[in-house]
Amino acid sequence: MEFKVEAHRIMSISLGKIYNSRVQRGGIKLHKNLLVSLVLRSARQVYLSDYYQGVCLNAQTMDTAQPWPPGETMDSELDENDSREHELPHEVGSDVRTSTPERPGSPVPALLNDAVAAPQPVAPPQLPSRRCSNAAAREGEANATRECGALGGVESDSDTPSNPPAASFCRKRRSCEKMTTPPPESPLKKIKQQQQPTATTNTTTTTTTTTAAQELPPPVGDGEEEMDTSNVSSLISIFGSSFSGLLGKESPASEPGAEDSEPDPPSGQICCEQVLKNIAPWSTAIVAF
Amino acid sequence: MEEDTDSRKINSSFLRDHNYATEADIISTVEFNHTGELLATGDKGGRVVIFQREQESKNQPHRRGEYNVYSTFQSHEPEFDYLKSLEIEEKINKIRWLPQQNAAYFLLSTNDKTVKLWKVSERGRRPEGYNLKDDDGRIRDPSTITMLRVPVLQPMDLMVEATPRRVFSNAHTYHINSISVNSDYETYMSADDLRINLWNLEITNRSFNIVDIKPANMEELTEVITAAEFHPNQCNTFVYSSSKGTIRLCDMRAAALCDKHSKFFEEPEDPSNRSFFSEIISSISDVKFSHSGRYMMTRDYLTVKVWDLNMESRPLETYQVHDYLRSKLCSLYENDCIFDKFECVWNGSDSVIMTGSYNNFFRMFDRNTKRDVTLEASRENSKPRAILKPRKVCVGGKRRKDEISVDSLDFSKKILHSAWHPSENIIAVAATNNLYIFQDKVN
Repeated sequence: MEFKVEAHRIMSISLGKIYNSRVQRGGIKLHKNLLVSLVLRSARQVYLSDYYQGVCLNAQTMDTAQPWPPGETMDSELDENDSREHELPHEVGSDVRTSTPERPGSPVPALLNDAVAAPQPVAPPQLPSRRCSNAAAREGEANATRECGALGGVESDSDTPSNPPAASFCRKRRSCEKMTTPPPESPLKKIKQQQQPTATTNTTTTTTTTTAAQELPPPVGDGEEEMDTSNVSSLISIFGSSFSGLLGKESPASEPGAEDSEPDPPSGQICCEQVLKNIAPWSTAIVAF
Repeated sequence: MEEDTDSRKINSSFLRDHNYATEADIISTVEFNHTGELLATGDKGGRVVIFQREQESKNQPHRRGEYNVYSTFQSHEPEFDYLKSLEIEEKINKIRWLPQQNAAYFLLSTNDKTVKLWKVSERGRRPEGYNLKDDDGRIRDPSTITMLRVPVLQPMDLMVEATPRRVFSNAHTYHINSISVNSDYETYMSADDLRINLWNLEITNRSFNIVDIKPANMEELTEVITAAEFHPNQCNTFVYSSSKGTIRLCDMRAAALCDKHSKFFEEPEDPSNRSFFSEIISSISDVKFSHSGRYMMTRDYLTVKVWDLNMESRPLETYQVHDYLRSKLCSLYENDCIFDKFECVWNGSDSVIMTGSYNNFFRMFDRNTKRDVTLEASRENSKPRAILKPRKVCVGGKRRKDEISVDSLDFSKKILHSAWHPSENIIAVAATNNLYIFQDKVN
């Protein structure tokens, strides 16, 4: 669990560095930003794998009849949602895609091994992203970028109403954390609830968020961590909105930010094609910043 | 003779000359010329300061060839790229001397985008006795001219002037991190994050691209070039290091574009040391050939490695510079210290290597005796002409009297740049905005 906290902290610091580099004198330093994005990616991997460790354990408690390996856990959850199944074969490749900016090549297997070496297999990390994106798609394109940006798992401790899907993560994770108290079915129920086309007004999800928050233990970490988190969420919204400026900029030179500002990033989306088109430039921009 | 001085040096018998403070600007590069007579420093303000060694005088035998300021000039100015709305820093990233061919000295200095060739020459005489002008320069009234005379060169106060002879610009999209003069003394290369260009020293409007690692899709970017250097003897060979901890040796005879390397040097990663920051600390910050050309040395965040050019699988020697920082990588990441780019230098005989650390410490490793020493460049802790005392960092447990604990190290005082005289045991160490010159003690 400490890894998750640490990973989250490192992610927020990394984002802060990327953001600050944009205003530094002398222009964006490619080398430093590349290194920061690598750290961000590693932290994200650890964070997500840690996160899903909780999810799988939680799912395991649901079905006490048979012990599953985590992979099968995810599969059974997938079966409950029809739309997911067809995407399963793409998972491995697409996870590679999101985890790493490189095309499948020599560095990729190494990274894949890293992802696999983590307690969770490759499949699980895709799950919440899909759910999130589905929820997001229903909630409208406008929020999609930001929310799925939150997909990065960056803002998890935040209960800010402005990012409800992240709160769904947060809820799910926290319910995993306090595995003892809630009945096994309830987390999954909450998740399903989230996916259903509820009123999907922000207020609704907000209320559910706050109620969830109330029953959850206080956020891990001290006040400083909370501050980091709220900074990060604002960072993401600023970054996300500014990034659209980068997308629009037609710079002929090879400014790294502008270079990867293709409106249609290459294939490899994990979740909804539509939504991920907004995510991919964001995440790849970080990497190739 | 050389060996004697080496072993004496490692016994920390260093005399310290007096401390030169530059104009309160942070020094960004230090380089001796090929004879060691001149020492050039560049700073963040775009200035170059050249020091010259005094001739040894019989009157003051203990002042053995001290370095005094010889010339100061503004090499680069801050610029603005209007196309990209980017400010271009004037900080001097590297200075490289050209070998001396006449009375004047030539050096290359570069900032992020532009390389300049400077000629530094002395003027000690001036013509006097013009016919049409006064000595002041005023035009004489023609009616007052009654005779013809030939101007004569008269000695004057020595004046050192620096003039830019060539400006090599508009060839780099990314930030230039290295320049290196070829042993043919006709060409040099400049390397930025993704490309290396080859220039002829005479021609400024054309350069050849010899390495290009920019991927077609920038999203696929995984590594950048961090340093590059020509081989000291073979004019067709050069190396470049990457942010992934690899070094590629290229032969320009093989192809015009040297994307395919001739040799690939990489040490397999130790999986037990893996952390979030493994990639950052494996990024190579400096690569230097030995004077003999048989070895090369690389510096990454925690170690210095000496490679044999004939063995690509692993380095010949690895020296831990400040391994006690390995457990502090997270805080070093937060305060950006983990991105510091330390340089490393060989001594003239390639038997000792030196590199910098934090708290104004610098480390020397003797390759033959395998002994190492940590010294400090600071005014407070050593008097002028005192012998430097070896320092020690204690890692944990009981701290002895003269030791410093890791937590009390000052990470704002770092020695990134240093230089070693090509033949003698004189080192120049840049500590933020101060330049320290140390000489070997002579009885």
